[in-house]
Amino acid sequence: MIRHLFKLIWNRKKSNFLLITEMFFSFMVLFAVISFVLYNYHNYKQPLGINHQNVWQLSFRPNADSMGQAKAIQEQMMQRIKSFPEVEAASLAHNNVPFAFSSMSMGVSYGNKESVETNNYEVQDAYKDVFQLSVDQGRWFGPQDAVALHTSVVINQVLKDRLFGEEEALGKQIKVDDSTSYTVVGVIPHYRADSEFAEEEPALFRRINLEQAKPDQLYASLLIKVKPGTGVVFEEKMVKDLSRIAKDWTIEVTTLEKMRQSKSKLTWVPMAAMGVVCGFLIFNVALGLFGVLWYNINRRYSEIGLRRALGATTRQIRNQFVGEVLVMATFGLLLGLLLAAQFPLLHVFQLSAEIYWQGIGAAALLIFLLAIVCAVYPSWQAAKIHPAVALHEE
Amino acid sequence: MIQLQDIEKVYRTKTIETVALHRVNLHVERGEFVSIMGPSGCGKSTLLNIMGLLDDPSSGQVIIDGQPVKTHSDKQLARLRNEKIGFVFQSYHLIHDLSVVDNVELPLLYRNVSASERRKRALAALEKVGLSARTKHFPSQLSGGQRQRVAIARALAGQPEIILADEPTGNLDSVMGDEIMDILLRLNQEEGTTIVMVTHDENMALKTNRLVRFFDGQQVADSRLVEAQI
Amino acid sequence: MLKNYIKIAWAVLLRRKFFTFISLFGISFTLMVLMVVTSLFDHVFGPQMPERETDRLLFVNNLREEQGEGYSSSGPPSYFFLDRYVRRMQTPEKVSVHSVFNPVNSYIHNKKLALDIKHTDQQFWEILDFHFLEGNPFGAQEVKNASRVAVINQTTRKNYFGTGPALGQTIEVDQVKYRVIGVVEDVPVLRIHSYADVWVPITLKSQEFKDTGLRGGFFATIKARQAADIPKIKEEYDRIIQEVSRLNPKETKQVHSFADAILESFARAFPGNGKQDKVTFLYTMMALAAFLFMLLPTINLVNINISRIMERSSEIGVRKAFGASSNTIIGQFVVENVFLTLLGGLLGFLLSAGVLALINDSGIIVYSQLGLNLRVFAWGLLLCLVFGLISGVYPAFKMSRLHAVEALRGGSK
Repeated sequence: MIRHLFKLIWNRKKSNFLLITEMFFSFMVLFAVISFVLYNYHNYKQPLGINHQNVWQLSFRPNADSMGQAKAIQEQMMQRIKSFPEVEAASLAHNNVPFAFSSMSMGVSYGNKESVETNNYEVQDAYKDVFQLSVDQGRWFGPQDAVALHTSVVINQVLKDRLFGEEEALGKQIKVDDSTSYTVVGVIPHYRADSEFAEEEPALFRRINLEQAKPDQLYASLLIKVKPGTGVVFEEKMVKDLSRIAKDWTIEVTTLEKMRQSKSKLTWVPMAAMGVVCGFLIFNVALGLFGVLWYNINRRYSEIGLRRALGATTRQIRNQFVGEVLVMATFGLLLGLLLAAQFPLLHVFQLSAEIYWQGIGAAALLIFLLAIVCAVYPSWQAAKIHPAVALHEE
Repeated sequence: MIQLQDIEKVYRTKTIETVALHRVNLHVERGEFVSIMGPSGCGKSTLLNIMGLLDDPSSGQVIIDGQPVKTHSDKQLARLRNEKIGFVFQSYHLIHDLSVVDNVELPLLYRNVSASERRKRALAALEKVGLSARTKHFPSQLSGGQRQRVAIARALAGQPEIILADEPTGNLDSVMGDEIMDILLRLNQEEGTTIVMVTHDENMALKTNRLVRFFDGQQVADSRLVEAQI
Repeated sequence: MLKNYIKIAWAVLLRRKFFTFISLFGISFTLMVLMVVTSLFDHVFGPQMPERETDRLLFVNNLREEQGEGYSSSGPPSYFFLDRYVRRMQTPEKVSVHSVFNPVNSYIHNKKLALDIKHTDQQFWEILDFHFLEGNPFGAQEVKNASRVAVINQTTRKNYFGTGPALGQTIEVDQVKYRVIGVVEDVPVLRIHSYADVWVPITLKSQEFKDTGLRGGFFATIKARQAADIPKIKEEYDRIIQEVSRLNPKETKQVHSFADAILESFARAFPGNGKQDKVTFLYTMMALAAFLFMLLPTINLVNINISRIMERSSEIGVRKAFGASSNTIIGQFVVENVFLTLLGGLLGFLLSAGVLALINDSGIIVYSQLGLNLRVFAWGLLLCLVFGLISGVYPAFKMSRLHAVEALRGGSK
């Protein structure tokens, strides 16, 4: 029977050409959108490695006159902040805090391996408490690292895997350039702080050593973890207090939760827009498919009558028409598969092959589903046709 | 073989009630070649449809091989049509998009027959109608007479006990019509296939061995013809 | 005759309700998506208040210094650079120097307002068409004196002052008190050169004027006397940059910066990585995306149209049998298709207007004022017409050439 259907479709390929093309393009559209969504979803499901609840970011823009004393002013501010009972932990950092639109990276290498482009974070000891980072190998850095020969660093598992593979990482030296090396003292399992929808990238944490910093050294951000329930009243009071220490500096406060939202908006707004447009396209295609199938079945009235006369049951007629649509969908899919398979095979866009294959599978499934949904009603109509009437309609 | 008892067929629309068949009783015996004649609209085709289980009578019953079919399900009816009955139509009803041999295979498609067996039987049926040379052609490449021969081969492929033919020569000129008639007669005589044929053509009808005449939905005459006339 | 055609067309469309619905849905929704996308595009790149005369405006927002060994850094230029070189340009009518917008906090009644502040000169107000709801912009005097005055936007006025008076009142932003002298309509955030919530005199940032580096936190907006002057201005700007490169401190090898129109600067920043001007590339990509998007609905339309016509082959046969010429039959189908497409166009227009209003109200895009772009709408409609005609009339034409008998029998097989 299936061979019979293939034969029918093949012999009618000219008039089915448009339908097959439509299926092909629908498949490609679905494949693209689903792969994109799957990629984001897959990333979203991974652990962030940080707890950003009740964490605020204070960013500083000093005025030019006081740049020379930036370090001193910041030290004073730190002391003031730590004295607030609402603040649980505080750490200076550069602007590349979690969910920020800013990043700093450098290449690091181990042994003779190629250097790995790594996000590089300069933070204080309390950073671990601010984000409740867990360290599963070794330890987080502390005051004892101030005198280390090579700067102590903590890296994430991704960087560890890239640099060391199965090897032990603790105590090893990683190289930045000919004159600079770092000693790995700890590995954290996850640190995925760019966006909830982004892949985890290699990360490396260096310790801020304020004692050795130059007088004009400025850290543009201060991250504080506040007690739950602390709100804008405290924020205003804190900003007023700090403004007295840092005259003419602009101090801006924002919560990491807000930053997370605006960062994730950057992904889900386009994703939703794509979804809506894709949904519209597919709905449009479904309607068209439905209409064309209906028309085709009307045109094949006498064929249906004949098949009934030759002993086809209503169920067989119904199955035949649904089957024909599925065969057409298969033709469209085969064409699409030829193209879509290039993505995982040639590693287009750096997505993992698994996501592409899942995308292909899901898109194919949806196309078949679409075909069945569109075919069921017209086929049911076809099966209802009375053979005696159909045979005399000519 | 096929027995019609007190068949009534009434078509109803909102305003009009048309009686297509009225109190028809007809018993077709195994091995007979029955022709049915009558003017247009006398109910011949309706009768053939009812015999072929394509249509239900309004009342009365159809008995096939001693079995009344009234209570048969769609599936059982389809099976009877498939195994016992073969159809030949005035307008051939071939499927344009299938080749000759694929068209002939159709009835076997609705049975559990392997692909190679289907092909074998279809080719055998085509040989019987003298079309072995055209199995790969498409219907649009054939003449009317050839198309009707394909239709007959299709009816034969299922090895039915009875063939119902609805004006099989109606669309053909007399030469081609005679060819078709010869094939049907041969089938009846050599293979013993029961044939019921609706026709307009007195000459064709006279070649058969039983003639039933219809007028206004009623059976008006039923005469056995002498076989020697052939 | 035409009236008669339309009558028949209407009857046919009503009779084939489902096919009519599919066609209308396809046409109107495709147009709608097209309209929304182009209106977003216009929103970002097109002429829009306050940057109304976009064909006379150029923007300087980036400067790249190459330091050798492939190391380069880029960002907004400094006040020093813009004031010393760009402001003194000969070809433009006016040049405005203003800071980038900076996020600051303001507290009112234990509530926080996150505001964006921008420091501007008085030319800023002359070059751009801000719509003042209350008061006036600050002038040369206020800029010279570094007066603490501010122009605020409508939303900030509402959030800070509520329904009470705003003009002459004090607004405290980032611990500094300003006197409100004007209220303007909201500016969309994507207009990075003009957008802010609060605008104050640039001289309040005078501590940054002393920095003689080339990079800082400032933009320039240049207005030409007429659109034809734009290439001349770009030339002069390029000469300035060459001059600056030459004069520059030893460690900097090369300086790059461009005066660009809005779309150019976007195309340079994103696909062009700050180097080449990739407007053509950007347009090609957009055209490709639009083509791919239109492809599916078009195939669908063609498919449905062919089915619609084939279904009516017997009707064509009857008409021919009763003496209709091929031309009258084709005419009938042309009218029918145009009629259907226009109907879809009208629906699409209404839908787009509705969706745009919905987006404006929902606040997905801050301070957005999306409007319909009639030119693009006309193009979309034309495209629908072309495909409608090709797919709807060609089969009809073919069928009208058939003999009546064949057409009656259902067309050629």
